[in-house]
Amino acid sequence: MIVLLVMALLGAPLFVVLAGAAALGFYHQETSLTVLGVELYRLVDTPILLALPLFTFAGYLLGEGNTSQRLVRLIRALMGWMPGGLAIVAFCTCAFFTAFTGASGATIVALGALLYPALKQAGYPERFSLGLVTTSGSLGLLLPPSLPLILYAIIAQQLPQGSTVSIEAMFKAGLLPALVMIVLLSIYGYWVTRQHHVPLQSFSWQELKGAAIEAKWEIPLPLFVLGGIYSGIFAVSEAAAVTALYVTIMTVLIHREISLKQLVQIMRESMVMVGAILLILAVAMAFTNWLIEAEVPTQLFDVVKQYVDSKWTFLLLLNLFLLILGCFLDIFSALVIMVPLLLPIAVGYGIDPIHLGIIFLANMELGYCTPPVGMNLMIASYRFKKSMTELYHTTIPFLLVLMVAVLIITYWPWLSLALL
Amino acid sequence: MLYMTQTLLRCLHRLEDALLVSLLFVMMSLAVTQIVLRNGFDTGILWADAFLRVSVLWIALIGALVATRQKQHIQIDVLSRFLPAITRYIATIMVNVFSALVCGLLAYYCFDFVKMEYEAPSMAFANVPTWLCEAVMPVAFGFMAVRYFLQALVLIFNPVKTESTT
Amino acid sequence: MTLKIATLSPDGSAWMTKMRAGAAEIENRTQKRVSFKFYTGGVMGNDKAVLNKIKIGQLHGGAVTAGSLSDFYKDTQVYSMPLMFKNFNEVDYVRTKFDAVIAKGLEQGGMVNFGFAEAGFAYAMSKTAPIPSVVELRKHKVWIPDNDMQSAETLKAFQVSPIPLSLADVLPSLQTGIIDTVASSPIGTLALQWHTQVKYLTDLPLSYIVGVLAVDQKAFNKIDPADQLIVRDIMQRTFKEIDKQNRQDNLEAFNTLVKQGIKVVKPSAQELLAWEKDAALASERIEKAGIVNPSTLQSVRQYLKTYKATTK
Ligand code: NA
Ligand code: NA
Repeated sequence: MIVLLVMALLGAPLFVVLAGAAALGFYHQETSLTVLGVELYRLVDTPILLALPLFTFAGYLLGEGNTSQRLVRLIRALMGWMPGGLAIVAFCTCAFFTAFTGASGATIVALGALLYPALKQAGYPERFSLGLVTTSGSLGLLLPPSLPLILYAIIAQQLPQGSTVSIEAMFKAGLLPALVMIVLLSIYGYWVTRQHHVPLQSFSWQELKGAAIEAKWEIPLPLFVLGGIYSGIFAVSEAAAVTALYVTIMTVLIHREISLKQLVQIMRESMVMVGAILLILAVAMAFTNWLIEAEVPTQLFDVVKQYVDSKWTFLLLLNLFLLILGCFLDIFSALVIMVPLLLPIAVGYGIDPIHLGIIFLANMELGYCTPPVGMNLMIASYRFKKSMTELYHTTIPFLLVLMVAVLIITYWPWLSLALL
Repeated sequence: MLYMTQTLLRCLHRLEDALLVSLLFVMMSLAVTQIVLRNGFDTGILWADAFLRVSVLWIALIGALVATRQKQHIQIDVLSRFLPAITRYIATIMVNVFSALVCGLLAYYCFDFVKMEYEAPSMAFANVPTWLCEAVMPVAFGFMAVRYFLQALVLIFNPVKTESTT
Repeated sequence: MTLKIATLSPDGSAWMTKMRAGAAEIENRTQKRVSFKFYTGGVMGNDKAVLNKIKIGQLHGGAVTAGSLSDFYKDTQVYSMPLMFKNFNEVDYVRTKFDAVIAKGLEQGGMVNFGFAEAGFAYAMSKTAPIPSVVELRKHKVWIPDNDMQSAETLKAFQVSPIPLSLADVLPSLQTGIIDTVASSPIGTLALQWHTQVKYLTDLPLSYIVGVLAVDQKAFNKIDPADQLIVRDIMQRTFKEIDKQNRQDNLEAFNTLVKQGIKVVKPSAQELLAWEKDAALASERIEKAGIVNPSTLQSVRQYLKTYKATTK
């Protein structure tokens, strides 16, 4: 056990650590370790997983092409005239883009490079601009078809208490909370423009038309995902297949931004990432199976119940815990390790497992910008050639705004459950 | 001898990459075909869904195998960045040996599982037996174990050139 | 000895409540020498995963549909042959004669069991249009459980290309229209919320399904022989109770479905003949594919013939 922990901290791959933990657990229970094979093969019994490689591939393709430019131009023409316009534009585009590319850093790399100079040029302060592009790299995690939303649903379904958590439900649950985040950040952006007298842009039908024509192939994309799923035309895995094919045709055949050789390269790269995540997920299922068999969550709940008696105190502690967790764990590790333990406890306190998922991911969104393991900080530092400490200071006001959003999301379950 | 090994390795890497790309390609085409057949012609390929689900497993394992080669696995890794270089060097070797052991264990028990399914055969889809679909598990883990072991060896005998491929 | 039992049915279902009551009684009578631990709601995976886990010893048993135990005794699937029974009277007659044969076959195959509990008749239910005939069925997107060879062969004989999905995917697929027709017992339809989607029910028992609690012989033999008898005694009684209760529940569930506005479709005499002709064809295919032994099928048919002769 200690060996495992040390190895984890020293940088052993997460799947190795989880497999080791599961093996140790089953060995302790005197179960034949062949159970590992049975459990890993259960990947095949989870048809919903099909959505994961397809959406990820589509996201990788979008990240490589010039979609980001067309998107910024369109949303700028649409919303740039509002007070705080460009900041709002940045939040909206980042949220949309991250939903597809899954907070893998693509947003900062592709969009940050466009938005950062544009914001400075429009008269926004340097600190604000830098902080904005850094924090926005994970905005949109709660919007479909983001990978963490899908993963949460899959992990929750492994648990007896989480059988109601479908991907469709998570996709609906994330919409209003994501909106709260964007609105709060936009209000902050508006407030900054008032402070610094950023000149307003004027609205032009001509520009909107031009931008819309340029982005005419991208505009139907959310329709496939959202429209398709919400209207019931597609199942999630079907929407993923259609999206992947559509994005391939769009970038390779219509825009011709990506050569066939690049396409093969992107297919390969995205599948390496998917493989790594799927294997972690498979091993985590085995680990979760052991947790259930050893009744760990039940015992944990009994312990927690002795100290925390109200749902509201539990939620506050949960936020605190997740915030600290987010400082040290990346979102995937946090999901596979903590959800199987936390979900049964939260359900014990009467929290809807779908609401818990939104709370969990909202907190993790903050973790992208907190040291020492904030992925957004690292990518932005690399991309904009700024030191980590400098970036850390620029993100603090945004983090505070997001924290308020997280508290609202946590204590107002209606936001997550209204659209179900 | 060295040349031959390198050529062989390159072929293996090519094969892994090709398999990965083809799996995604087939997956995407088959899924879309299925939608078209279902909505346009009220029919469908009977084995398609089962095949798609098995291909997810294959992508998981072959993708992870390539990720091992390229050292792209997700790690928690909180401690090592604060360690001095020499301690970190030793830690990396230990982690690689440990990973090789765990992958070896997984390979062994997955093989056991495949053997069990082979002895009481069932069909996964069409006429493809389940054990054949599962066979990718022991094979991939076996290769991963070898890869981690070689990565440790390279580190031990060639401490400077740490970015070698295996 | 704690017997670890997995099942797909959720905690709180009538089936599980009875099983837990039986388990509590056994624990009591054996002074905790034998106890049960249930993994409900499919946390251990589907029937196939559960059987694998029984083979490697992680689990000791499972409450599963009899058909899924064909690895241990092929002919567990004989009751669910297409259109084998016309009504519950036929079922009752045949089962009094034949349950023991299947139970014995399973025991010889290494699975201790305590009799069978009715899951019910499966009826075709459709979301889009009434299905009085096989011709109409062919126009529909019909679900079958994945890994179910028997249903696959049946639908092949009906010339329907079915859509195999796992149980959990059926409801969302009905909602999105990936499938529009399912076959299920009335209790199952209500429990799985499928009744919120379907509009028509064809009043023709397509197949008859029974559930069974199968316990690995090796695990069971570890129990003291005297305690084995207690377990058998109580569980057999429990299964008789579940069997009876489910009959009642299914009849009520059928009425509930009708009350909820689901239209009952009755095939005409002519259409019925066509169903039976195709069902006979399907049975032939299933026999040929070696899914069920012809001799077993023959003896069940013989019982049916005897019964029909006596009632005439
Ligand atoms: Na994504
Ligand atoms: Na972090």
